[in-house]
Amino acid sequence: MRRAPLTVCAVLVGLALIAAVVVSQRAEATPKSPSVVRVVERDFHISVVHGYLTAGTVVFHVTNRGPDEHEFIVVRADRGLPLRADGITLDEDALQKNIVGSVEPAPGGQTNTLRVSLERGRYALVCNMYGHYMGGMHAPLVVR
Amino acid sequence: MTRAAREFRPFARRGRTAIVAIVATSALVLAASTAVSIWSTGKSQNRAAVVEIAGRQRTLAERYVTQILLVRAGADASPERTGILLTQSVNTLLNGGTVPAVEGDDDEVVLQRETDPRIRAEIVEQRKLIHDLLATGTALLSHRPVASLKETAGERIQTSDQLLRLRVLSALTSNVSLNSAREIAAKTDRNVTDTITLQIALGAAGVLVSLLLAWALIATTRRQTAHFRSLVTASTDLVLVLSGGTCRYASAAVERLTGQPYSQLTGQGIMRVIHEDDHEQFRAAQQGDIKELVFRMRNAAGQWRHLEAHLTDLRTDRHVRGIVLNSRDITERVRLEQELTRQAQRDNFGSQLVEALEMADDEASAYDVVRRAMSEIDEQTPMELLLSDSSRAHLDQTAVHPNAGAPSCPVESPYSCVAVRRGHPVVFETSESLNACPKLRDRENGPCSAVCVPISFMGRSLGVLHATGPEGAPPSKEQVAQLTTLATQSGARIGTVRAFEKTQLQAQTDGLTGLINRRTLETELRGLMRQGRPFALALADLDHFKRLNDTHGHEEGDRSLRLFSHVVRQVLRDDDFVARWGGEEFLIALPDADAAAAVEVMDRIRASLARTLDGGQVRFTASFGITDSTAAPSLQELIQLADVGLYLSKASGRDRVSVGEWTDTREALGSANGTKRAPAIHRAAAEDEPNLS
Repeated sequence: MRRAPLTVCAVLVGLALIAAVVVSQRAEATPKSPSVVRVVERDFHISVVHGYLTAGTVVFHVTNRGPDEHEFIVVRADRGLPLRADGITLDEDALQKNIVGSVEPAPGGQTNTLRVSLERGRYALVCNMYGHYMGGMHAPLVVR
Repeated sequence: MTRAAREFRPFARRGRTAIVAIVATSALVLAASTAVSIWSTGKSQNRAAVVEIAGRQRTLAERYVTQILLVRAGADASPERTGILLTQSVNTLLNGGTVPAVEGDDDEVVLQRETDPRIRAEIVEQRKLIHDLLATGTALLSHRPVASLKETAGERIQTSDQLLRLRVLSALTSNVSLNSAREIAAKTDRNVTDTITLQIALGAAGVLVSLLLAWALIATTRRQTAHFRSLVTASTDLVLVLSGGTCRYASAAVERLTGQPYSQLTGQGIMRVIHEDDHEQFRAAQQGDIKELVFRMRNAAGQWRHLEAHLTDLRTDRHVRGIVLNSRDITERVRLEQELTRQAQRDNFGSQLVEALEMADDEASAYDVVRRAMSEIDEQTPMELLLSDSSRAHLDQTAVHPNAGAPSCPVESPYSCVAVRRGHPVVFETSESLNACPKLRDRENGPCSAVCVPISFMGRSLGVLHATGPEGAPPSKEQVAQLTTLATQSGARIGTVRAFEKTQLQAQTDGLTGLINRRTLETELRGLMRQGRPFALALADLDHFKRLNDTHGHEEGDRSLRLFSHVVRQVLRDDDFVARWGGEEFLIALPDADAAAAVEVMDRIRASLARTLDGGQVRFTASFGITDSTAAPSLQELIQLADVGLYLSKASGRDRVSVGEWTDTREALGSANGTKRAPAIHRAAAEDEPNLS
């Protein structure tokens, strides 16, 4: 009966050692935490809140405040963004190579996450639903 | 805490309640489902109209831009009308009301107020965009700058191209209208889905409740069924259901009684366990012709059991469709009834026997009764009554079965009989068994069975009543009981008769000589006189008897008296009487004889006595006085006349015979007044000279 506390203590010490080793190894495996960008979409503009962005993984938390549905596209915008023939929507076909990532149209009140790897440069955050881009739903993003 | 036992109500309304509840639940679920369907359908119709109007806004917005362009190009168009339609439509979508018809497209539509906050927000956004669109269009038509127009919907159109601005607003309006239409359609779909889900849930709940109620109903029914099954199974009553000439159901009690499985009892199989003599009655019962029935059924041990059945005709009851036969075993009752019947028969036999024996005033009559009783017991069983004689050393066959004859038991003495020794009836199954009575062996008719019933009276064995039967089939218990009754009653009667006869004999006879006594003879003589039948009287007296007694002793005197009596009896006829009159006097009566004949008879007695005494015994003589019924009218006078004659014989020298006459009497007695003197013999005897030889 007297051995029970000793055994429990030994097991706890062992578990603590194992946990410490695991945590230290994970810390070594993650060299740099991703940058987080909070994006709020509403009719009809995009608000972006972010700190100093460096190249690497960027996580976008996109919240649509509506009331309309909005999509979210991250597109490299070193040069201008081309429009379709209607003059109202971006020509996504022409921008195919420049699109880094996107979130499908989401109803108001929904938040989605987009993880992308961004290089240094200029980017545009847009909603290209019919009329939305021209209605004002675009915002610049610079990665240094 | 104990749970109170539920009261069992075999005909409770629970089952009916469950059925009603099932039906009510089903009706309720159906009504709710129908109401939901109606409500949902109505709402869906409204939603379809809303979707249609919302979608139409997109077309109107594009038409508005086109009309603006047409007007600016100088064509005839009415964008104001389209703008009004857009405004009215969006307001109606938001707050409800009547949506005006669009030329050639559709009719007026009545809409409900939109209640969904999200859709309302989209419609509000749409209304703002329409407002901005119409403001831009109006500015364009009036050639006013549009850059200064306020953007109310949150859009930030950064272009100097006024037409592009108009198109962008149209696109936004169109897009928002499309989205709201989609949202409304999606909500409608969700409503439909919710309705379907609700209906499925209602249906499932209804089915579940119905299943629960059905389960409760089944449980109740099973409980009731189990209860009745237990009652029927555990009941000792036998239940059969007969239909169409066959047995359709037999309860567990029938299986237990007969030891037959259910399958062997149903159909025609039931007839195999019913007594053949009862088949006809049982078939009649199957036709419903009788209401009560007593029949026999063979049990597992092969014995016949008597069953009393009550029949209930339930052929019109659709749950039974047969005749229900409720039976119970009454074998014990039948046995008791039979026993009582036999007891009554025995009692009747016994009472008749007692009455018959009471009327038998002698042994012969009693034996006759016994013979008739033997016939009454059984016509074919040989029987005999063996009774001991007065010495009780020998058994004589006193009564034999008048038809079947006697078994002829060779037993000779009462105590050679085992039944007498044991004091109770003995039954032998066969004369050949080891413990059979040896007297039964080697009978003329071969091996047999037998019953031996001892007969006793006042604790003393009188004999045995013996009956035989075929080997292995002795007389029945009933016959044994009757034989016992016969033995008891006949023993009592014969013993009584024997005792009575013995007492009567002792009262009528003289103990020393065996002759009748004086009273008996007087009775006989009075009988003769009443009949007017003539007779002669002789009074005899042994001569010098006192001296004989004194000389040779009283034993020799008694022997002389017995010898004289014997001689007299030998000489007299059978219907003559002789009585010891007293002492050494004897009175002899000779019916149908007169004094002269009596003189001859007395002389023969004297001669016979003389011859008898020639053998060397002590010799003695006797004197006789004679008279007859013609000499006097009364018995007393006749006896006195005989006494006178005796006196004359004594006076004349003894050993002679004299006829008494009244004249002689007076002269002989010297009576002055002529009165009769009696008994003269005593005085003459006193004067008797000793004359011993």
